[in-house]
Amino acid sequence: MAEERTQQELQMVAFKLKDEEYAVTIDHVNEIKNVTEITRVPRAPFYIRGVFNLRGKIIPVVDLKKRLSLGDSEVRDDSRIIVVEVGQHVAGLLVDSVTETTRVNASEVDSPNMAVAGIAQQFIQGIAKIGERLLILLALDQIIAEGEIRG
Amino acid sequence: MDTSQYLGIFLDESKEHLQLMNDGLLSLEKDPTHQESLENIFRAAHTLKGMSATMGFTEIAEFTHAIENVLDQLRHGKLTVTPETMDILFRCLDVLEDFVEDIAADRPSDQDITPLVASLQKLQGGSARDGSTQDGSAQTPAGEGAGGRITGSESLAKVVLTDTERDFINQGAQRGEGAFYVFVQLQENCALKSARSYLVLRRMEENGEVIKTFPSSEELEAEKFDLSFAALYLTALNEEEIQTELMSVAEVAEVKVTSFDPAEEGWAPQEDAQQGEMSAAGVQAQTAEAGSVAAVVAAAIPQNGQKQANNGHSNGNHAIRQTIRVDIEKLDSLMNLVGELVINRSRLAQIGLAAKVAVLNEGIEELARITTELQGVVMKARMVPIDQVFNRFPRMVRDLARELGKEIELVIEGGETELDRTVVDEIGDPLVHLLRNAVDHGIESPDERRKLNKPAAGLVRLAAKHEGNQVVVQLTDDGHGIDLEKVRTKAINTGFLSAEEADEVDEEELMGLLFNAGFSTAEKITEVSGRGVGLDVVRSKIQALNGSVSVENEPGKGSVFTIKLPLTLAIIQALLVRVGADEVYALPLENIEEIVNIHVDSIKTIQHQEHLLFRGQVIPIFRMSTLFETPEPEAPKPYLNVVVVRTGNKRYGLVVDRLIGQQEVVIKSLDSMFSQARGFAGATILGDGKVALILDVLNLIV
Repeated sequence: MAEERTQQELQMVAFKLKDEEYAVTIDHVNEIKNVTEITRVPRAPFYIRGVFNLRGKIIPVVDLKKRLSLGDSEVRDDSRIIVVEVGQHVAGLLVDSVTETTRVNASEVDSPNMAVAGIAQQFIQGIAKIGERLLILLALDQIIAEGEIRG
Repeated sequence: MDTSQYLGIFLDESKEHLQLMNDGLLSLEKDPTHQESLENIFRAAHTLKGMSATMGFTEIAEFTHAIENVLDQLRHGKLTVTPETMDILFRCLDVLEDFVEDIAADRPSDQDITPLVASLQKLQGGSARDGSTQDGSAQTPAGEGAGGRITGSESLAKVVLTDTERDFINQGAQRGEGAFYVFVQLQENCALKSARSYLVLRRMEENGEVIKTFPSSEELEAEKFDLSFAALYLTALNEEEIQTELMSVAEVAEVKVTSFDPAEEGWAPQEDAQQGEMSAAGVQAQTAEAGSVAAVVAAAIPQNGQKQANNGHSNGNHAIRQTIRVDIEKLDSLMNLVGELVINRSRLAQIGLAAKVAVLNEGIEELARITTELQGVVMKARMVPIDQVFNRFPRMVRDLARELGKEIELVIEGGETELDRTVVDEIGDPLVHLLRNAVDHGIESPDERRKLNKPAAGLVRLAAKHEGNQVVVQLTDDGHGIDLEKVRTKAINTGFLSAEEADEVDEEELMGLLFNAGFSTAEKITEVSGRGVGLDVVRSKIQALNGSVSVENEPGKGSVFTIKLPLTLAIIQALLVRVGADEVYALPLENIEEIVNIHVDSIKTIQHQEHLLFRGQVIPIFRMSTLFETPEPEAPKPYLNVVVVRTGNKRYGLVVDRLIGQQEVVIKSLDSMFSQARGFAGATILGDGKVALILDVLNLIV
């Protein structure tokens, strides 16, 4: 895998959960929204905050902090919903704030060889280095998975 | 000619023609002398043949041709209708259906038609090898393999015909259609020769049938020709008319029409008067078939519905209406868009109310009126007659009755009743189940029936009708009904009920058991039914459609299954309720029996479950704020709103904090991420843009 990556440049959306910086590759991102009214869905997996109306479509919202076992989310002014598309699913990721979109050379992304920042390894695709900053690149297909509860 | 774009139309129309043949055969079986049925079958077969030949499905064309030969002899009285004939024809129909299915599934066909073709030929028996021709005048000399020759001046090459093609011409002759060799010269500056040739051929097909082109259609398509090409053409037009017709196509320089004679001698396109009469019908069928393949907008399909409703006897007045075939996906997205519009209308209405601007409100009211109308029209566009399901039953019941040695009279009523196509698509299987049950278990054998002083033929009646916002389908049989004692015994044996419980349950509850999984009272397991999978599947399927099924029974006299279905699945009437501080849920009105306001003291707790005495019955009640672990439940109040809901035989009360009101809601599905969150039929968007969940009353309480 390392060889393929060397020349490649990855574009990603960086965002914050608590004090850590995270990122998802931009190919999966449809749009970034302010948080609107989210309707709770009883009996849903604990990490799903509910559903919201995205121009007439009903979109589930994943509370990313809960999903990654980082505690509860509170919706603040900076909070955003990153709408991502993974396979059959379109879902929103609730994050504390979106910082920027950025480019990273693929060679600067290391594979995770252990749990990082207390997050289960399965959710992490890699760690990207941008100067002094470290971005935790998330494995969206693991995060947006059907109904089951992991980690 | 590239025909792939017409495949959908071909499949649709083939199915229609097969259905016509099926209907015809069934009524022919009832009345073997019914000439009209024969003509209908013949016409359908003929059209199918033409269509499949045009589309290049030669196997179907040739097989249909063999069938047509037999049909032709039947309609001219050269053969008589016997049970054996009927069986063979029915088998042929099955094979044709399989052929079409194979094409639809895009898989190679492995049908072996040889034995059936042999049976068909045997039926024709001693008559001429080429049985389709009526008399010598149009007969191709037997044994002639090389085909006819062109007598015209512009002959490009010798025309070599296959047997099928020759038969086409012979049959055309019987209908008063002539065969012509048409030579077309395009203008020298013609830019798209291939497209032009296609247009010319299409124009020809509007009034007849192109049997063959020179060079072949593939070569024409690949532009492998100079400026001229020719075609062998079967039509009721005369030479001059053909000429005029084709010269009107742009960029055509010259058209030469020569009468074509497959046998060189004795060629006589005009037959006697009787055949002249036939020709009108022939041309009509011809035009229909050519048009159907060539034009995307097909001419009206006669409403099969009414025909079926009259039990296939009257083929009466086919009201010709202009129709157009539309991809169902387009209708679906239209429906979605209308849904959006409805939502935004409610939203505007709310803004209007808050703003209190008179002009705005007037505009909104007008918008509301138009939206409602639009919604109605779109819903209607998605409606199809339930006949699409019903019309396969006569054949099925016939086969079933034969297999089981029973006599069944199937009466179908209300086939023209329309409902949403999604519902129609899903309702087939449950109905098949119920029909099989009725024929297999309900109706007694003819001997038994005679002993019981019943007519030997059992009556099975399938009727559909509109009732308010619902469609009611009833299946009645006059068999021996359901033996309640047997149900009781079975319930005890299979552990559904204890012996004591069994003594206490009433008739209604016992009947309800029938719809449970693993419950079948059939004494012997036949191939048809009785394996304990059946009524439960029927029920779950119908409930999935937001419908309900119930059964009434009169021992010894028969039973009635009643299915109630919503007209559409996309929009439902719902009661909006509030739970806790701000959670709004939608309850389908369909499931609501009653809304009561009770004092908290009237609730009794039995085995940790709250119950309420409601109209003489004890029903469990559930507090929605508890069920859903609502974050901010309301403080306890002395009076409670209880919505009594019912689905199947489940009946319970739901305690809600506030009743908001009745509203039409558009159902949207929830992502599969919510598959473990049971109890929701979907979600909807309210006037203020918020999402409300729609409750699934059946699965809400586990």
